[in-house]
Amino acid sequence: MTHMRVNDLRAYYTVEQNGLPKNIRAVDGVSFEIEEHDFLAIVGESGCGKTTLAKVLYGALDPVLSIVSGSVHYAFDDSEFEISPVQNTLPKAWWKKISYIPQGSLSALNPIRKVGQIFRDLLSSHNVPFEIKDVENHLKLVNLSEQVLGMYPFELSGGMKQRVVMALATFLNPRMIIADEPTSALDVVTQRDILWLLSFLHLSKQISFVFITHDISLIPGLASSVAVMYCGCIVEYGPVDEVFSKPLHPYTKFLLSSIPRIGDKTEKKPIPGAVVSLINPPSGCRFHSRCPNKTDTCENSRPNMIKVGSGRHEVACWLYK
Amino acid sequence: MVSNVLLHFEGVHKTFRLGHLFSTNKIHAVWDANFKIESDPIVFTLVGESGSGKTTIANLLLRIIKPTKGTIWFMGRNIESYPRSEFIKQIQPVFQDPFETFNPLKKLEGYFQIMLKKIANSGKKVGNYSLLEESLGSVGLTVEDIKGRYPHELSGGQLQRLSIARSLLVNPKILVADEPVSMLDVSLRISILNLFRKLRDERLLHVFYITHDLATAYYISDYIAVILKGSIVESGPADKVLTSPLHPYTKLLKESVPDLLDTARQKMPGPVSRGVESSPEYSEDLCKFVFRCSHKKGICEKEAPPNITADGVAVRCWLYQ
Repeated sequence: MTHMRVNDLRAYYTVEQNGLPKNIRAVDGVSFEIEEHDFLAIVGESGCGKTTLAKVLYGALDPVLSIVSGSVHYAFDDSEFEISPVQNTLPKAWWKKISYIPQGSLSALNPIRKVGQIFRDLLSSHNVPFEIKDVENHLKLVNLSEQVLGMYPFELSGGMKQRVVMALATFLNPRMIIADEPTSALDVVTQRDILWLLSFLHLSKQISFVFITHDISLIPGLASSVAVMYCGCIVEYGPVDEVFSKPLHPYTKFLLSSIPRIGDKTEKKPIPGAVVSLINPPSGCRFHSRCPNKTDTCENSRPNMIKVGSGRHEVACWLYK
Repeated sequence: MVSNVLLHFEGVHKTFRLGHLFSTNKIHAVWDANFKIESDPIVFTLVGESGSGKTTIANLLLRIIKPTKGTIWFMGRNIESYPRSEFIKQIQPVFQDPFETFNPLKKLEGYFQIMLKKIANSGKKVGNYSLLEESLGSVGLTVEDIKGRYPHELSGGQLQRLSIARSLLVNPKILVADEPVSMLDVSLRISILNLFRKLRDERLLHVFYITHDLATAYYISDYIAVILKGSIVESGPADKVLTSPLHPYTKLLKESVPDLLDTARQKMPGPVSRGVESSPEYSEDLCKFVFRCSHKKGICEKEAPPNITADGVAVRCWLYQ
């Protein structure tokens, strides 16, 4: 069963620059599908639109950010939701069917409420009775003792706060979680624990995940499929083993080869050039200004996603037409 | 003092007091730090998780705070004995967040002009940019790149290069870089790391690199020290320490680094027992890792382990007694 179907989604921010309205084309033509129990990782550099994509997928639109065209369609066991330029029905499903772990989840907790009260707030706003036993059992799932219920967020360490946020996100048994850089502020040991917890929740509670990160080395062993994002577009998509063992897009190749590893002292090459602007993205393939294999076609027309290999591996590059 | 020692931390302690007059808690942020940096240019790396005292050591080295006990020797003299004007020409910092290093309201050229005036020790505008050109040149930028521009017009990687160039103006002996790449993207990260290597080889600069990321530490460092709760638990040549770690904590850190090529890894390793994050870990008379260590013996809880040196690697653990 397909949980989420994203169809040529375009979402722009409208800002004013020198008195003229400008569009920041943060998500520009993204399509993919997420099956039940899937674990999709979206990887990209900062400023490539990955957090905007997460916000749009969660239906958290605001006056500045709007969907220009395309749609996101959700289908859970008994209900369907749709986000498109004309309607957004997803907020009805928040917390119960789909949850969001925001990027600054360390500051997502209300600083003047105890953790127990935060749980109470969540449950009362969804008309679910507050049973202290349920909450305590649920906290055990994320390796927290019930003592944290009587503590304020500032009394918890970064890793513990992240666990509280994850406990809140999973309490009403959602079918899908969108996690936006949940480990970016944590050190390696805590990061490992949180990633383990994500894959534990994925396997034991059968939750589908969309995991957004800038650190490509977190993905093997965690996700089942990966989407590489560059400048508002997805340039490569496929099962993790295939993309990591046989990267096709030049950008993915660069990303993979620029990661230092223990036991490897050879000099790594940085990706040439800089991230391009989302206000005036280059014509044609957006990576052409940094690409070593560019041709005239790359400058003029934008490549579409083409299926290669097993059929689940897709790449948007003229090299593979 | 041997003349070829550039920097020597000799039994340095730093204790912070928490609380008020009658109930004070002592926190040993740095506990008995001993290490030497020889005069051959190297990249010296200090690794540890957050809250381990890495930044406190940087602050001690930059003379921002004074040690409670012990002495820091620089070129055979106590660093306290240098006049400030002389000291800042020897040891220079590079900060974590390049976006906050520069005043956003000042043009970069004016910013550097102030520094050139200070160096020339005159109130007049400095027209000769040869010094600036030289230091910008060694980070791969030109004066044209900064003319008439504000900090927000440059990318994070360029700003971090500029902040390194700023430090190089006075031609220092040591560059103290506190998490210089943690705010940058993978593609820019590697170019800054390559720059540190280049500065070491071409300008014979010592880089005191502080990080929590073992993979980048391995990539650039010659010598590495692992710090845990204020005490340096293992130090030695980077190759030896990271390929065959001795201390259980270093082993844990190394295991926690996600390995990119390990696509066969099906599941994340299980969580690590965190133990209690309370003040006993900061106390003097036990091993700092005892609450999380799987090899602990009776003696670990009674007495702090001595520094044991074997084969060029110093380790602070009862296992190797």
